[in-house]
Amino acid sequence: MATLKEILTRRPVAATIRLTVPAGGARPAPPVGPALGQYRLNLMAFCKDFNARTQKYKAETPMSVTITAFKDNTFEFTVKSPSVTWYLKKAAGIESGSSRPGHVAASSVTLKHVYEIAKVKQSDPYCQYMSLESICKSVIGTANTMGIKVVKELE
Amino acid sequence: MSKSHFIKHLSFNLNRALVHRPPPLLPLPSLVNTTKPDYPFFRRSCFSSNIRTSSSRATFSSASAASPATSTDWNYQSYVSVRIRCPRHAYESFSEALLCFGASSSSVDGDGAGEEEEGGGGDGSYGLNEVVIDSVFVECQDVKACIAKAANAAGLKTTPSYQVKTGAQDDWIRQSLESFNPVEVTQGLWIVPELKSPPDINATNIILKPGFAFGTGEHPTTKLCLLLLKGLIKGGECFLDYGTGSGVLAIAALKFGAAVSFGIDVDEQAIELAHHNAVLNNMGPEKMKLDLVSGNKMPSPMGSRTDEVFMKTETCDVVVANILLNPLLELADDIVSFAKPGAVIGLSGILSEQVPLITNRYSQFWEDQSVVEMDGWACVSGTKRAKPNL
Repeated sequence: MATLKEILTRRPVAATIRLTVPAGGARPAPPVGPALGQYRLNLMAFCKDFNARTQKYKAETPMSVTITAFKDNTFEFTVKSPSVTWYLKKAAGIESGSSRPGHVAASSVTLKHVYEIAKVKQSDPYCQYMSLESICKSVIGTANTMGIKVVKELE
Repeated sequence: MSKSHFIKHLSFNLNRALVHRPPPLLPLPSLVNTTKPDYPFFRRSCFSSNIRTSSSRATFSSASAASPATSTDWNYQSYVSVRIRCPRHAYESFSEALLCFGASSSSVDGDGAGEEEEGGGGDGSYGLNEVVIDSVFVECQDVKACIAKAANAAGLKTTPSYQVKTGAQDDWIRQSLESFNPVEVTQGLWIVPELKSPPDINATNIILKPGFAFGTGEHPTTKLCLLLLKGLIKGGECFLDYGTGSGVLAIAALKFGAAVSFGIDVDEQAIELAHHNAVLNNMGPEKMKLDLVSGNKMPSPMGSRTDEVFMKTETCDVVVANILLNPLLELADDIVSFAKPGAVIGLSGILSEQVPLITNRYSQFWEDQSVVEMDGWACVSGTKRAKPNL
């Protein structure tokens, strides 16, 4: 969190807010509204900024965003791509993971799905240093914990 | 006697705009518990910790039935604000786990790693190794179950104690609206919120009511569009604000000398706000015309719709659209159709990196494209060709 320390020495932080907002769908309504409003942040500016930056994602994908609010009512935020579990559920076409992962397979995804998911994840700030292959391996690992099989091709 | 009156007043107003600050209200819990209230809204003010959410949920649903959450009422959707105390060593993973299990947001006062903020209000009994997390849940979530699951996922041995506060509906609205101040866009052009006084009486002042439609004047895209208009409008033009929001651009065009301004938007609240702002700036309906349009992609130029024709195609000298990249790409045909050949079309609400996409999409429609950037945002404009380059 080196950059966070830089920010801290620059301006005093009032709060750190974590939110889940659908891409391109930020509105000054609950849940965004109350969470940001209580720190007197400019809601419309955040909504516009967030919506503009998430235009490249499919609409209504739930993005996790972390906002750092400073005491002078300014703020900065970083947007993370949706979680791997969410992508896997969408790719497999199911609502929730298997109740007994390892024993009961809820659904399956192909290697191509895994590759696509890994490519999206690569643009995430926390995964940039990892090779595509290792991101794929971690996606497969997540799929295993959810009870989703990974197959070469759809039968 | 006076105390119970105060409580009655408090509960009746809970559903209205009541300034709700935790510190002054916390001394009340002892009164609340002993006086056995049976006002319908009262149970929403649950101040004791370890609240039984099932009973509170029942009254939430009755309260919300009274005010159905239609698409235009999203401002008044009820929500629950929960204050959770969590051991310092686990607060990061706990707040992330909360989001996974149903919370809409979780915020931590202060930087969490340093000093203790007063975030807990009048409670004042936090241990130094505890952090307060404020979480917002949309009303249909089961708060207790979510916190329990999140605690489990974060590896906490015991479920943290928490307090459920009523989501005073308008409180956060008022707090965010209070932060608007007069903004100087450029020399001689100010945007002033309704209740504040303009710093410079002689300058062109646009008075706006703060609200939840976009366009308060502080955002770089609004400023870029206003600067573009200032350079373009010489007098007597017909102007279209596509996606008008608060109406700021339409009003500015009229102040600069345009003959008539049209404003369209898909959001009903925006149109209402724009009407209000037009009145504030003494712009009558003959000069400023506003219309609410459906959010679906327009089939073809509005002039060919069978219902009442608001505007005909190819009537405007200046068209400005300050929305977002994807709508700009999808609605390109529609936006361009309103401009006369040779008219100027201005687009904003796009990041600098998104400009090439706009260029690709619009180059068939216009020529002499120019791009102005401010703070990472861009405004792209061009003059409409007489015939599109196909």
